Amino acid sequence: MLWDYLQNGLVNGSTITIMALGFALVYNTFRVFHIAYAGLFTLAAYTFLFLTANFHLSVAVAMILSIIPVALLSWLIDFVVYNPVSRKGNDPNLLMIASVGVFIVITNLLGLVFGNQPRIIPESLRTSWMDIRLMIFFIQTLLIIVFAIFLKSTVTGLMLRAVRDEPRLSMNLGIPAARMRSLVFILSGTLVAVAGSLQCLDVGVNPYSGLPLFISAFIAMVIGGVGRYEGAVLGGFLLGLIQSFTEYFTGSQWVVVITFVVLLVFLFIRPEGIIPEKQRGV
Amino acid sequence: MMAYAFHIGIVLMVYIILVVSSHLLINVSRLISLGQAAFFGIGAYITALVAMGLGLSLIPALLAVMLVNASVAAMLAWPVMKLKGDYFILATLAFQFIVFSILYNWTAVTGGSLGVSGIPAPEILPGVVVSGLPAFFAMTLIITVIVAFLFYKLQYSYFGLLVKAQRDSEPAMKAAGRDTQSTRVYIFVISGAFIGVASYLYATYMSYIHPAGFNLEASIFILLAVFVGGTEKLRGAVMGAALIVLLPEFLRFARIPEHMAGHVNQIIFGLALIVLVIFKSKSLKPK
Amino acid sequence: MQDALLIIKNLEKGFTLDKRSLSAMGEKSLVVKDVSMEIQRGMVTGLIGGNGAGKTTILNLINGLLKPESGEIWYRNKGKTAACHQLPPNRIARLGIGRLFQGTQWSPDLTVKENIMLMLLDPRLERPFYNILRYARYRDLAEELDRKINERLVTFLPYMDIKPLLPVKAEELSFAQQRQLAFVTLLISDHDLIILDEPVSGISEGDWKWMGEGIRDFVSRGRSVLLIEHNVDFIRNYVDHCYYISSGSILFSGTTEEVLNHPDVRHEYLSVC
Repeated sequence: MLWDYLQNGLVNGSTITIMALGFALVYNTFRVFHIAYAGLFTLAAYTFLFLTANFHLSVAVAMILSIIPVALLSWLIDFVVYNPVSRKGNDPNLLMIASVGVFIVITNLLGLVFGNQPRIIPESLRTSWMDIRLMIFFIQTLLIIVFAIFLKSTVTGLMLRAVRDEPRLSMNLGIPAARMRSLVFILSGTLVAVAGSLQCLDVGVNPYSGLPLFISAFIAMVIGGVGRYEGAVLGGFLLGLIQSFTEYFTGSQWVVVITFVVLLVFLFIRPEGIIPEKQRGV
Repeated sequence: MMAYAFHIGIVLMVYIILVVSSHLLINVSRLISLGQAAFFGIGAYITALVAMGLGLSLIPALLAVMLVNASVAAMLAWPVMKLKGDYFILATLAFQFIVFSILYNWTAVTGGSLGVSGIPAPEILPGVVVSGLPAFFAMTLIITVIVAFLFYKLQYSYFGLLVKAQRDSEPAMKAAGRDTQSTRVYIFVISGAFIGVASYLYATYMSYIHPAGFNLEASIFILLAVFVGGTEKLRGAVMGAALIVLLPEFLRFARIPEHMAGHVNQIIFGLALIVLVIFKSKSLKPK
Repeated sequence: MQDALLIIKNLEKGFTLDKRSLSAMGEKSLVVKDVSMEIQRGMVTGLIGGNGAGKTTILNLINGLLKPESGEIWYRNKGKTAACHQLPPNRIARLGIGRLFQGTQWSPDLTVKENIMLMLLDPRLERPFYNILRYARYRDLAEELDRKINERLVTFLPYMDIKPLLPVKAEELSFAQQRQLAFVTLLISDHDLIILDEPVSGISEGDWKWMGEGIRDFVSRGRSVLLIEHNVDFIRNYVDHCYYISSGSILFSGTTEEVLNHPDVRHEYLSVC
């Protein structure tokens, strides 16, 4: 019994971590409070549902194909909304408001097309040679490791970290800022596409299923430590486990309350998170 | 037809109070709060409590609701106002979720997912009940005008100057002897208290409340209504409220099928926001 | 000297760059190291030194915008003593300490008059309830301000005609105009000590001369000025006492003439400027 909850916690933790990493990529580099990210998650889940239910594609193929529209839309959101607005040197709060607008549009378009009822994928696809939740956990953990290796040991990853640390300076160093921007949004779109597809495989989807996970991901990033990717990973798994054990001890209706109480405790006692960011300058 | 107009008018004025109460906080001092609907909800449940349990008439009930809302806002404000930018948004979001969860799950007190029904119409004086739509409309109109007038005065008073100045240059205002932290707390508390007025009108008009009316979506809509006005002027915010309330009605007349109308309505709203931010962002620019 | 208005003792302030590596090294990088100063009544005190020497940090510590790691700042005025290192910035300001910032400090949306009001008038008015109750007297406040301007600004009118600028929004003024107006506002205030961060940078010689005269007039009434400045001619003409600061420490102090003629200052500082 307890073992089930531990397993649940790890699976949810890996989903939250993927979301947190993708969000942190955007947030750390450009300080955009990218709420539309929750909409991208839902889009990924519906694309996956559409491909499997209507074209009877296999899980793996559908997951990979669903990356394309999500990454594309992620890039488009930046190109049409974030980039023009932030170039005028605006208040970051404005970007957040615009992002809320994008989120509302995506969510409601999906609701218009697919309806408000929760949908699940055909049962025939959910049988596999191994437990489906365990498979989800392994795929997502693998993706996290690949992402970490990419950041730490490739030149592109190094440039991304440079942009994160010193946005203005890095441009002077000859890092192609525009291409970096595109890369960040495409990468974060890819991450959320995988998380959304697998979530749909596991529990199905409705137009509003992205937001709770997005909020968990943001909280995971804050408690782990904003500005550090290690923090997002630590916070993601920690939060997944906390939520799962809260469910075990108190029942599912108090999970949200406990999650936010954990957040408030961190905000007031240790706002820099478990792994604090290096403070720069004065 | 007349009844319909009165109904829309009352809903519109409830929204105007919500938006006008949030305007100074969100538009003028740029503290983006995602917890406004939580105050709306707390106020509504307190209204149910004092109107049904204690049988208070209009003025004592309004004062009680405002007092409770103000106290909750003050308790929240002291720690939260120390947080900057996104952390402030996040803390208000946390507040929103916690309050909603409590309203929904604390069945013994709030009725949980059943909501609370049978909230009586307001009594102006003990025994003098406001009955009928026209009377309720008139009462709402008077209260709305009073609230809007107070906020107008506040924004264009010396306090309003201070709020603008400290948004633009906080160190300078500190060095000029201003307690900027207290100013923010005041704004937050005033906003919470006057949302209580909207709660009272809403709960007594509908006579039935349900937690779903006070969820995150409601908070986002208040935020958007405040923002769609697009300027720091109070009348912009009032226009935002009008858009929120009238757009769904307009879509109904445009014969959009019922099951699609909600989505179409929200899509128009989302697009309006995006376009507003992209094209009007110059006028919303901070220092 | 018992007549000092502000006494600073062994002030230290550091900024931690990386918490973990520092705790490993057990050492802090200090921007302000063991600074002790005295600001005398009726005098203009100058703080000079190269860029990044820690001058603005010291001003921020005095204003309370930053809190020192160690050290004390005492303000002695009208028989009362206050420990500025323990007070929040708004309380320090109410002791009678005013500040001109390096950039613009005015709200672009508000008019010149409104900005001046915010610098000069009773902070109690920031309380909304008090404010609503007193709203009817808003006009009285404006009149009080007009009176202050009429009484105290006469000497500046030949140099800077303020009256037509009062209803103009601050964003329509030039950078130099905004700073000069903020400066003049401090001069006509009731403050006993005003702290100026580069008051005449980017301002023409004709203008800085009347500003310097304004400062002399201000201190002649027993009040004090502390300023940072790079303009050597201005320092020579209008500053009485100088502290030379380098890498966060005070190297020497004395009359302006002594400090400016010191070989190290001539070599390190004046050759750069």
